[in-house]
Amino acid sequence: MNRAIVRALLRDAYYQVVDNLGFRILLVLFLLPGLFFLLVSFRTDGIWVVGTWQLYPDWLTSGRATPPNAEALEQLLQMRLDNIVDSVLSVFDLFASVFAIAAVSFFVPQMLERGGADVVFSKPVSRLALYLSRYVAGLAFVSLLAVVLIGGVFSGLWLASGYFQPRLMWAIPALVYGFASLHAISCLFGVLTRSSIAAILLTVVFMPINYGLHKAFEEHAVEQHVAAATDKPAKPVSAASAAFAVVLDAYHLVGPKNGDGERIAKALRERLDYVEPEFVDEDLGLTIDASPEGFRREPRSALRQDGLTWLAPHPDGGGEASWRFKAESVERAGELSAVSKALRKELGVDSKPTIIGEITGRRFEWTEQRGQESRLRRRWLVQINDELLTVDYDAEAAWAAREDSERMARAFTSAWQLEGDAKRRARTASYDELFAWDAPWRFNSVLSILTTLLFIALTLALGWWKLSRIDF
Amino acid sequence: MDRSTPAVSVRGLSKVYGRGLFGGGGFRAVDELTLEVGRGQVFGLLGPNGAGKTTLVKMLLGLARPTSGEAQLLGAPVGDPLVRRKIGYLPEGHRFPPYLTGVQMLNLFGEMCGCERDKLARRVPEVLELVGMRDAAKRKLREFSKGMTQRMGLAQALIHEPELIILDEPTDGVDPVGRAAVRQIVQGLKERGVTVFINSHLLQEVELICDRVVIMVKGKLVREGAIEDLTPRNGRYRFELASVPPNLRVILGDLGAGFDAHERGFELQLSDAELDQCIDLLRAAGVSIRGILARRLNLEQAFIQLVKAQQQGGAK
Repeated sequence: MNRAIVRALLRDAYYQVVDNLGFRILLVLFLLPGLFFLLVSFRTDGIWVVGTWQLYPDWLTSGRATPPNAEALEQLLQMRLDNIVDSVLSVFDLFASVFAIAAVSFFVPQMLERGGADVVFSKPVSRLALYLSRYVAGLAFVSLLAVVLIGGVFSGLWLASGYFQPRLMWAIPALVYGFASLHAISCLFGVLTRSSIAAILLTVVFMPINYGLHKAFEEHAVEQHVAAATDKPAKPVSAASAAFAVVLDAYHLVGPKNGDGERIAKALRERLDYVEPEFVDEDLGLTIDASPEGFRREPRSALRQDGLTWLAPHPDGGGEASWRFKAESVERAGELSAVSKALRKELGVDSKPTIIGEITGRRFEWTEQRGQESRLRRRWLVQINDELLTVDYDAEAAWAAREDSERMARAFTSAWQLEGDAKRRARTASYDELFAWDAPWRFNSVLSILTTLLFIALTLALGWWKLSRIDF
Repeated sequence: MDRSTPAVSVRGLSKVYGRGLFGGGGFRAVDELTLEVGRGQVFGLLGPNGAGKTTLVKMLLGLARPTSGEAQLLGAPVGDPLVRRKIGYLPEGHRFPPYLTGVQMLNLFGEMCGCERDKLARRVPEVLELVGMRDAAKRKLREFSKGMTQRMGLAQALIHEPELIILDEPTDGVDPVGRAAVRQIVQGLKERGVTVFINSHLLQEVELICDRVVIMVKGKLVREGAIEDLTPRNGRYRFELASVPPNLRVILGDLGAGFDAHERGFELQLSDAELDQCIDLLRAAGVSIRGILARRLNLEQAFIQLVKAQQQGGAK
């Protein structure tokens, strides 16, 4: 097949897509979110319409006795916008899949209609090329819609709300990836039935069945993972349940995992954005992404001896602030309470419950006199099974009270993630969290991609095989 | 490619639809057909409905797979993509992509046949002019009438300058002026040495255009030959006279049968011996004969006779 033929088929696919009434309607609908985000801006001082009318000035701070500072407000705004965008895109994702299938399922049956088929299949172009051209037309259909939808939302948010998130663009390939397997199915049904209505109906019926089976598989896989990771004794299951579990596992291997598109995009994004963390302790589930600006790690320190130490020099040249992470083995459960109690008694201060990651600990704050010097001290105490983690913050009291050093302290706090030990992580894990490049096969993204691509290839091959045997 | 090879060569070609699991039963649409069409001919394929004409055409174009036998176009097997680039096809009851304009369709099909853009830039206006569709070429095909669509169909069959053109009911839905234009196009193709294979049930058109004709009945070839061979004399003679004498009937007496007078003479059913006798009688009476024309069956009459005979033969 030469370039002229490929060009002709692609141009034909394009003409077919842009002439499609369904495409035009969807195009207008998919422009609406972008237009909405262009006209309505979300800012820390309220929601603004066309930059003129201010609505809900306290939409971020409502219900708070003390309004957060500007930095916290910005973080809150990002979180709110993340949620809004996720909601809008998830609605349109489903909408796009269903309507795009309805709009493109006729591509193959129309090509096979009596009269139309005679013209096209008598040309010196293989049936495979013609079949694939219709498949590509469907992908082009959804790609254009995805670009309009995601590009519109991205541009609208950027221009009107200053929310610049290039990662949003990952939703475009994710949406097309999710659609690719459904469209392969729709093309196959189109060849088998040679009826547009039948192809649409069968594909739309396939979608929830496929979704349901994968959802059931995910629940089952997570349950099994938790049981294995926490050494829970296996619950007795009926023969039917065990057989169903095998069916779910088998379906996971052969079925299209179009729902993994967003997960794969996230995993790719994380892979590309991946930076080696400053410090990781697998047993504790402690990760420190990076030393915040102004801090440097004491290279000789070790977590289970003297502790890990980060130092920040005083901006005026006098003294240093330090963070020290220290872990030690403890004998029994309840040790944290005893240590907290002793500390409370020794220092004469009340501790506050504090949440680090998924873990609750105790936080103490007091001022300590060292000769002439007054030091601000903070101590976090967290117990993770038989490990007691102590985090100490120590800085000159006058210096530590300043806004810039407080900001540094907050930055350091947010740089560490404490998820707890493997068992704890396993207990709270979701399929989304377990899905990774190097995960076991049930959660493995490479397997997901390969088996889905294989499904698409086999489905298209089956459609082509059937097409090659049709006598027009 | 060797110009001496036939344009179409079919040997023992059969197509059976709806065969059972083990190859038995089914409907035999084409039955052990063998025929050849020489290069540069205008060839007509005739037959009643269900004779297998369309099935034969579809097998030639790779649209249907033969059950047995072999077929070649321009000296190569029918599936050969290089050969298919040299073939133009106008199917019966065609449906062209409604989302394309006339120009877009010609460009699409031209490129699918391997034409480069510069060739198409020259060919598209030429072909549109030829089929009389230049003014409507930028409209979407869905807006065309049946006759206009038929003209565009002919245009797409010609766009890549094929060596063999297969036309299935080319004048279907076309008005009389359009039919004359189609005949003219076919004549022009013949003059350029293009082989034209016409499948039609409009026998008058076939009679006017074709050099050779094949008649198929029930999947078999029952008659093949030039138009003259298929339309035998029927024994009637038309006499053109210098002037018609008032006592013409008296002069001829009871010679022949089916006397039919007309303005400049008469028609009569005569045997060879009676023809000589008739001329003698007219000359003896001083009647000046300007011309004698031996009448033939027209193709339609010949076709009907043949098909009826075949069907009666099949029934017995």
